[in-house]
Amino acid sequence: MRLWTLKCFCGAGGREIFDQEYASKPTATRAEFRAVLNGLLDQPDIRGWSRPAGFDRLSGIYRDLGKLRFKADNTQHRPLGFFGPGKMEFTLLIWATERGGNFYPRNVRDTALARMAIVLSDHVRAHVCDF
Amino acid sequence: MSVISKRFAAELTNDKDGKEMRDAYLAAQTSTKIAQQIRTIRQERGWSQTVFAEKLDTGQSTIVRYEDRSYGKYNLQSLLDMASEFDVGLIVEFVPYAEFLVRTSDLSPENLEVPEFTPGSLRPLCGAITREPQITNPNQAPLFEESGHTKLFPLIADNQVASAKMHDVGGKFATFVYRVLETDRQEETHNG
Repeated sequence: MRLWTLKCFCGAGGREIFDQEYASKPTATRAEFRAVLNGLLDQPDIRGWSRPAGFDRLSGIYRDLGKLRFKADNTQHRPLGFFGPGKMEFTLLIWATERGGNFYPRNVRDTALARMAIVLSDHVRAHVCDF
Repeated sequence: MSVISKRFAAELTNDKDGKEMRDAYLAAQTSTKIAQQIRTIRQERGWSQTVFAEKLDTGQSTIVRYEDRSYGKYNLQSLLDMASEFDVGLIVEFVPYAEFLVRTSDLSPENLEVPEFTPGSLRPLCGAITREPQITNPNQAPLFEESGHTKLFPLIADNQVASAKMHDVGGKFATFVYRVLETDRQEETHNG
C-alpha cells in the first residue's frame, strides 16, 4: 500500500520534465526504476529509505537531496529528488547517472538543487506522478 | 484501489516491448520483495545482521547482500536455510502474471512480516480433530455422542461452539463443520 506520494518536477508551462526523462529510458531501466520506487513508497517512514532498499542521501551542500540507486543496462542510475514539499511526499527532480564517483550530467546536482528551490517556492511545479 | 497504474498496464502490454518489460519487472520486483522481506523478518525477530549471520553460519557481509535489492542471486538452498532460521514456510511457484502483480504490490513491512511457527497456528487447519472437546452446554453433549460424529468432531457440542468455529476459522472447513452439526440436528429431530 502506497504510504508516500510521489511527485515529479514540471516545467513552467506544466511540461512533465521528469516524466519525459523516464519515458526515454530503455525498458530494463524503467522496470528497475519502478521496482525501487515500489519498495520505497511502501515504507512507513523515512528510515525505510535506505541504501539496501535503493536510496541514499547526498552529502555536503547537496544534503537535502536524495538519490534512487540502481543498476540497469550497465549503467548506475541515480534519479535525484527530495523529501517534500508536503509531508510523506517525495519529489523527483532530474535523472542522473553515476560513474567512477562522478555524477552525469556534470552539473546535475546543482540543477536538482535549483529545481528543489523552485518547487519549494511554487508547489504547482511538482505534479503527482502515477507511474 | 488499483494494483497498477493504467500507464504501467500499457507498458506491460505494449506490442513493441511489453514482453521485455514483463520479464525485466518480474526480476526487479522479485529481487526487491525478497530482499525487503528478509530484512523485515530479521528485524521483526530482533536479530542484528551479525546474529542472523551466526545462525546461518555465514558472515555479516552475506546478510548485507541478501538484504540488498540489487543482489538478486539467491539460490533455493539459501532461501530454505533462511526459512528454517525464521521458522516459516517458503513458497516458490509459477503464477499468472497478474497474480504476481497483485502479490508483490504491497511491500510495506506490515505486509512482509511473517510470524514464526507455533503449534497453535495449526489449529485452524485441523482443530476439530486435534483439540480437546469444548462442550459449553453439557446438556447437549449426549446428543452428539450418540450421533456417531463425536470422534471426528468433538468440538461440535452445541450451536455456540459451532458458530464460534465459524468466526475463528472461516472458509470451507468451518462451513463443513457447521453442516455436520446441522445434519446431526436434522437426524436427531427425524429419529425423535
